[in-house]
Amino acid sequence: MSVSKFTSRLSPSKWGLPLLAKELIEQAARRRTYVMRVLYAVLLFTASYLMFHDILRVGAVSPFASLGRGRDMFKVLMALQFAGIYLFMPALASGVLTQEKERNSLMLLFLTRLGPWTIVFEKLLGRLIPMLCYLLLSLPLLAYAYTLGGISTESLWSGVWMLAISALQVGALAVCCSAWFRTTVGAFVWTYLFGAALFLGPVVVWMLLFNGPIALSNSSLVRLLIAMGLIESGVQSMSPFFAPVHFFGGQSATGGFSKTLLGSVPILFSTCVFLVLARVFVVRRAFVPPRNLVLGFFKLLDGVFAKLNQNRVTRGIVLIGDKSSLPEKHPVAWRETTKRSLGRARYLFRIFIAIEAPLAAVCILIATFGADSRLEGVSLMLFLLWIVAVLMISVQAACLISGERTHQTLDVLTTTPLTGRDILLQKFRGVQRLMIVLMIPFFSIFLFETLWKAPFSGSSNSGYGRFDPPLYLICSAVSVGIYLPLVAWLSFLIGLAMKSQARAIVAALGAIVGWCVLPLIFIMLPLAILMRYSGNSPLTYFALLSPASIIAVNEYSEMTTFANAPWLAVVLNFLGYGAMLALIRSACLGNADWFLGRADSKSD
Amino acid sequence: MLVVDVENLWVRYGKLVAVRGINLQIPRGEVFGFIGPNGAGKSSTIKVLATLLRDFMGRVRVNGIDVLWRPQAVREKIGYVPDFFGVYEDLTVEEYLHFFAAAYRIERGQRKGIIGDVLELTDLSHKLDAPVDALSRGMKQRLSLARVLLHDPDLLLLDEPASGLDPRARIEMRELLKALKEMGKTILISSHILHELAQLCTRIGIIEAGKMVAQGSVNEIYGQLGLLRIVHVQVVDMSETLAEKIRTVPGVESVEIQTDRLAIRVHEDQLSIEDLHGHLVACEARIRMFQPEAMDMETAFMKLTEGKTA
Repeated sequence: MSVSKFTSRLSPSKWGLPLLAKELIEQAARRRTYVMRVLYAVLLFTASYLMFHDILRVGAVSPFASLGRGRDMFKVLMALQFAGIYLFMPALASGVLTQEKERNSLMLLFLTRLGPWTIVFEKLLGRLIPMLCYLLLSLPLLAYAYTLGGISTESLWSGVWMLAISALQVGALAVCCSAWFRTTVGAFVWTYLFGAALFLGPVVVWMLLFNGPIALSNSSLVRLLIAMGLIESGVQSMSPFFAPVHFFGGQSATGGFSKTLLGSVPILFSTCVFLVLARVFVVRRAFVPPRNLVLGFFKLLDGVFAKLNQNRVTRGIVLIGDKSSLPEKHPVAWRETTKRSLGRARYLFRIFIAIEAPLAAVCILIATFGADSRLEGVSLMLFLLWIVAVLMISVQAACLISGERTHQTLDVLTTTPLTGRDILLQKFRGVQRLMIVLMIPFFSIFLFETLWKAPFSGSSNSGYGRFDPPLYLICSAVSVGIYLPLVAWLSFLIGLAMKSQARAIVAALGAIVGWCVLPLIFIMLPLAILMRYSGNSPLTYFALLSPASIIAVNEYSEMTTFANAPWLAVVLNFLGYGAMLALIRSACLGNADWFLGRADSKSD
Repeated sequence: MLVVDVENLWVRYGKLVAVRGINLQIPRGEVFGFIGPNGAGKSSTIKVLATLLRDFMGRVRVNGIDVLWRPQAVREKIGYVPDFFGVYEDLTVEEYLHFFAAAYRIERGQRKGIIGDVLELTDLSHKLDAPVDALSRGMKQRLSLARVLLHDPDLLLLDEPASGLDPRARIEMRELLKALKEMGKTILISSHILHELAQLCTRIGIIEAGKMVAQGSVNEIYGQLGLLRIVHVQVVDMSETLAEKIRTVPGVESVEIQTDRLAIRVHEDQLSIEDLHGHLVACEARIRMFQPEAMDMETAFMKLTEGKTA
């Protein structure tokens, strides 16, 4: 049998899976598929090489010395693969159904003999196969680790099983979001948000409880439950996304396959729930018009508040009424600040309350219960706040111009006499407001931490001996003052260059994550391995190439690691990123007409 | 005074040449119809005039202002309606028009009056407070026209304004364009609805594969094409002898005997329809019906174009 005959027999269309065949053919025809695969392979192999460096070095000197080290390599590989699934799978799968809705082709699928279940499964499979291709890339590394020994067959199969069902689980969540949302942008953002909430939510709750009421509880029952590990197990079972990571992070990796199956119950259960929901939504929400969910929610709240206001006491009194304003001088800015959900003052105030209230609650909880805690809960809240703020600002900024392109309103706007620079600056006004609102919770945390830690500063008996209040406050304040606009302008620049909102968001978030992570992997890690520098070496300054470094280092009061010259690190870091911000901003504004795709004034 | 002056315009998108050396002159008050198959280069030409394309070669002027060198000044002079609606659906009609009034820097005190006028002209006054996304397609298109009239531009660039509209909306759009023509507006309009353009436009340009294949008034284009006019004639005693006699008349190309009539093809420049009637009477034909076939743009278009794209 010839190769072509054999491959044609393998074609999914031959098995009665036309949608899957179409998906795979489409992906195979895209250059992006191969670029992403190469990128994944480069990241995986480089990260693995850097992490395995010690083992490889020992092996080069004496092959026997590295025997049995395969287990460590296996765990690292598993962790990398899980990270790959959690990062790549939502991006791969969140657009499967929304793209059909955006192209008005979902109704054509419904007119065929394909049922909703078939559509959901074939779409999911169409994204699982590329993800499994990514996972297969680690096969040579896995084989190498296996040859070193230390990996039982059961562990190997457990790993394969957990990776497969995790990919299925994340894919099912993404397809479920894709079935619910009308646009790819909405599905993309909410898949990550739901995923993050499922991944981190129970863990955060556990940490807060453990540091707070549980730790201080005198109840013997609570102490018994903690001792038996029942509370922790309960939290883990509520956190299906956390299960595999925990499984391979701990000793369980060497456990039996039956234990693996038990550990996969929450994953499989959540997968089934996501698939059933996807099946329901794909039909019910097939033809819903595009709506801004945040705006819709805020309008719903408006109605609720208006109803609540109609009582004997307040009698519908309105202190500050809605101005029925019309644009005066700056029409684009007017629309951004009065018509957009993340631009209106009233709605921004609600977002502020939604973020600030839990923060305040956590701070009060810690101030009340955690007399000598290390404020890990607050630090975690700060990092979460950074993630949420970056996500909100980046998505909002990336969509400013790409949204106009998607809705075909850009040409109309660019034929008005408004200058390109003017259009961009006015478009940015809503994001500016959002940034200001988001800065307040940041400063709340900074002030709380300073007030809490300052009394212990300089004391060697406490964990805050190295805490320097002015350094912490200035570094934190400047990081917010420079990083948030930097994120906004970088995303804005990427959004200017992209044709669709979905691409703009993916590219902007990818650029930010890459900027934060890649310098650490490709510069700091090799330096750490090759130079074997001490913690206080000037080489630590290379860590500043990642903008995230200084945030983490400052939060944990480890600024002295910068060669005992923390102020120099702060100045260098923020001068560099400040210059970068100025450069990106001027690149946007200086080439505004070019980015907007219109004739630029040569002598106007 | 020329409002549009295009000389040797070339537009390229990478390797694809969309427009190949077009020349176009439109004087003030003229309605110029741009006809061509999809991908012929109509929208590219209009986009150059609307300052939405940077990479082109040739000289393009609007009201004597060079589009490449002073696009900002050109934007003050033009009103552009794209082939899609391009409306902000989160605004009401009033907000939408105020938005663009502010963008065109119309004095605040004048805005209300101007908006009232354009809404009246486009028959949308009753929709002032309606959300834009609640309007029908025809209304959205009229709203787009209202938008471009706000700053009283010298030139209106309308790219397929009747595309996707139902018959009523299309007729309303045509009437609106007639009103604008009567107001003396200079309009460059592209459309596929050929007979509507023939009624509306003072001049027509037919473009194919990026080249202008014919340009002039409707009659000039028919003349350029040298189209044969077909006249359908029913006579009482239809015979081959009579047909032979008619074939000898100078200007008659051919005579075809059909079931109930004669189809006579004539060169109009050599023989007028009235003279043909005289010749038939002279041949002692007893005429029951004499019907010259309507000359239409569709015939001209099909004759001039081969369906090629750039």
